[in-house]
Amino acid sequence: MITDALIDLPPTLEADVAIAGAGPGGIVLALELSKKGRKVLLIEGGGSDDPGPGASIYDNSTSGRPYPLDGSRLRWLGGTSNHWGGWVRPFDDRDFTDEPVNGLPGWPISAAELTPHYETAASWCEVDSANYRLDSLSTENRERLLDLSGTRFVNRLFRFSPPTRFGTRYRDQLASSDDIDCRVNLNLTTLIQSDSGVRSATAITLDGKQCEIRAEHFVVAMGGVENPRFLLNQQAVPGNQSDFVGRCFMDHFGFSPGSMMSRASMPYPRGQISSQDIMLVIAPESIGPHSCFTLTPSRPDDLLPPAYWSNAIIAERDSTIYRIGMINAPTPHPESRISLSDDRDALGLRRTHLHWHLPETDFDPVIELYQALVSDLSSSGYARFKWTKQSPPAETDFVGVGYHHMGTTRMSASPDTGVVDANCRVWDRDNLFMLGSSLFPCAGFANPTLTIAALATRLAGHLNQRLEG
Amino acid sequence: MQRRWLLKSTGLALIGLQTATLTGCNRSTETAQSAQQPQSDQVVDLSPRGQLDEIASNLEGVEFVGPVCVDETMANDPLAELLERLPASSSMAITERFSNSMALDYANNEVFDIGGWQLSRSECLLLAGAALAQGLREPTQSREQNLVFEDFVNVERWGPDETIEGEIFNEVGDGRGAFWVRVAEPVPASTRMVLGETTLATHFEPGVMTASLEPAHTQSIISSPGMHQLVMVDIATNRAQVLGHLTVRRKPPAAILADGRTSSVFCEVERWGPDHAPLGQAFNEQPDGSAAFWVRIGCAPETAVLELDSRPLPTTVRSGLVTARVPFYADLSTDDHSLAIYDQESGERLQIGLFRVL
Repeated sequence: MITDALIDLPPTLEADVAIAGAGPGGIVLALELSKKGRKVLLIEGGGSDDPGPGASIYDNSTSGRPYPLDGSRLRWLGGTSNHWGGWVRPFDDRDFTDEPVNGLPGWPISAAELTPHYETAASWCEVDSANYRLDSLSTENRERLLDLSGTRFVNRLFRFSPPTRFGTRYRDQLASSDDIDCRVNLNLTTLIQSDSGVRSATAITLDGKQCEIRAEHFVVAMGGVENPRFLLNQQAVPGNQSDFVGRCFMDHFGFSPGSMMSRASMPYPRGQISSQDIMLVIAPESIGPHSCFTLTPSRPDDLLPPAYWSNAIIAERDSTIYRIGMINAPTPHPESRISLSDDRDALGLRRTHLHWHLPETDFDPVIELYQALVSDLSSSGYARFKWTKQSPPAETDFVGVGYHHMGTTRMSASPDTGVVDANCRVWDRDNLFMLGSSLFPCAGFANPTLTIAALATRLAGHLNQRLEG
Repeated sequence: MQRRWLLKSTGLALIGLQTATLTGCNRSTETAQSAQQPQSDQVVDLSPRGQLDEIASNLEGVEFVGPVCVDETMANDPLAELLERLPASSSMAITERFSNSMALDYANNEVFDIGGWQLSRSECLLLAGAALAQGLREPTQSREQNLVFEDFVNVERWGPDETIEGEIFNEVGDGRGAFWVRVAEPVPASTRMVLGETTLATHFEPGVMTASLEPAHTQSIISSPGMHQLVMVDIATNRAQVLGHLTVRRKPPAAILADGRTSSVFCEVERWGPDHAPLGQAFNEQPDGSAAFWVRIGCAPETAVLELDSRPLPTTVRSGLVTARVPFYADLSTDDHSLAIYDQESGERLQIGLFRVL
């Protein structure tokens, strides 16, 4: 059942699990729990089909490197999935290493821990295959790619969701489930806490209605910006024993270092392989940051024309110039953070302030990685490379971003280095859980939605076990 | 240095006299050999230096990088210097020796930056040799080639091909109009759709290519009645294929309602049909056997419905065209029946005409 809280709101709502935020994470978690017979309350601050009266809730301020924080977040059923591009790929084994990055530990769980959940997540994201290995391509298509054996790089593939608009796609299931009570236009504002847990919570509407929420477990799944903002707005900030709530804000950042002359018709871009919706990228196997290179066919070069590649001693092939873009693995910096400004929104909560710390030095390993690609592929004779941008953008420059807000309630093996434990539970609260990309302690180049859905299915299993006692 | 001068007569098997086996990386023996074969009867030097001279003389695409490499390498005899750099081998083809030398250069970071291009020292020496052999003194950038019009995309269907002045066609959000092209096979990813003289943001998925206009561009197009040519251009090869035209039809005048007011939502009806049918006959018969009306009208809200004798009909509103099925056609009596279009939001109803059952 989906109910507009502006129209109908009882004084008390009860459930086994109360989930705040109906984006991909919250919706998948609710539906997975309902499959297990659990009573779920799913509340969404925005409306069913639009932000409703609360569009200004997300107003914010920023400092540091310019960041378009207004540019991507959507506040209604389905959340940001209402306009995502559908890129899908699980994180790789090397993304789950616990090797410290910038002095901070990585994931406390292994890739294997998420593998079965990635398969379920692919289903939720309506991806036609959960196989991300190159053997899912025909031999003919594999041979059309660069043979990177003998280099320090490998070919990797992305798949695509239709893209699934979770609020639209799963609305009927949410509405028809006997176990899910979905309330839109209802905002979680306050946790009533004991020393070790959440007793209840308060949720309000923008026209002043209020209700008490009672549940065995509470899950905050509001997104990578709102998750820490909500915690920081509590009188006693849960999980902040080591001052990590809101810190280590990360996003995949872009860099376009140059272009490449290589053989024509390589099927790297999306849409080049019949019958499979795939895009291929080149990624380092183990060196450097776990970024990736995208190849986009472009115009012939004025200085090195296509005829050059057709010389017998050079390559004797038709050529194309590929513009090279990089999707870069971000580094967690504690000073890159979500904090609160003194301004308050219509709910009375303090607004977001983002300080994005992406120093010029973060581009050094990125530039080194491109140099390694230049060296390896040039020496193997597969390509020639051109530098078009060899220095990092100044700290006041805009850079491309993925609009992937990550790291602000990081998962950790120890309460000293994060906000939640390996089960998504806030370290110092027995029954409070976080869900979303805010949990990512580090990220490679893969987009976050599939991993968010995988974490949701995993969390559903964990909560179900806890409810079984 | 071993030099071997031979007289080449067309068709003679001189290849057998070569000391090297041509097995260069990424190229076949046959093609590497053919690159060294002279075009006509002449004295041919098949020594390594002779082969380099031959390659340098015929190297293409070096109009810019060649002269720059002359300056960068500062070699008096670039090919001699190149030859000294090549790994000594009596069993390796010159192409393979060159490839190995380039690989070594990249490993040792012996690289020249030529307008951003990262070329190995060995490669640059060859290019310098080519420039000298070909008399290229000043670096010359290649000019953009003229478009060659030829079909390179197998188009199944595309759209939209028309809209009405002021009406965003196939809106994809944020005020952007967009085109779609259904294709039978993958389209080169270097293809861009070009409307008039503006290149559109073009995207590819299996079986479909899409392209959208910036909001300001959309407004500019839909405020310019006429035909706007849509072309697909493969920017990597300068091939172009005309897809067709987007016709922006001038917005017809607003309709006058029965009470004399000017409609705020409907344009004048241009034509409609059918206006008569024999009793019991499925007029304008549809594939499912039902009857249907069509109304050409310059503008109508998407939510508008046709009404026959005040009974709403299942209606589809498209740009410039409203159609509706008449499930109860068999029950219509021999008489005149009133056809109208109604918009619930504005409350406006526009009389279209009388449908006569004979």
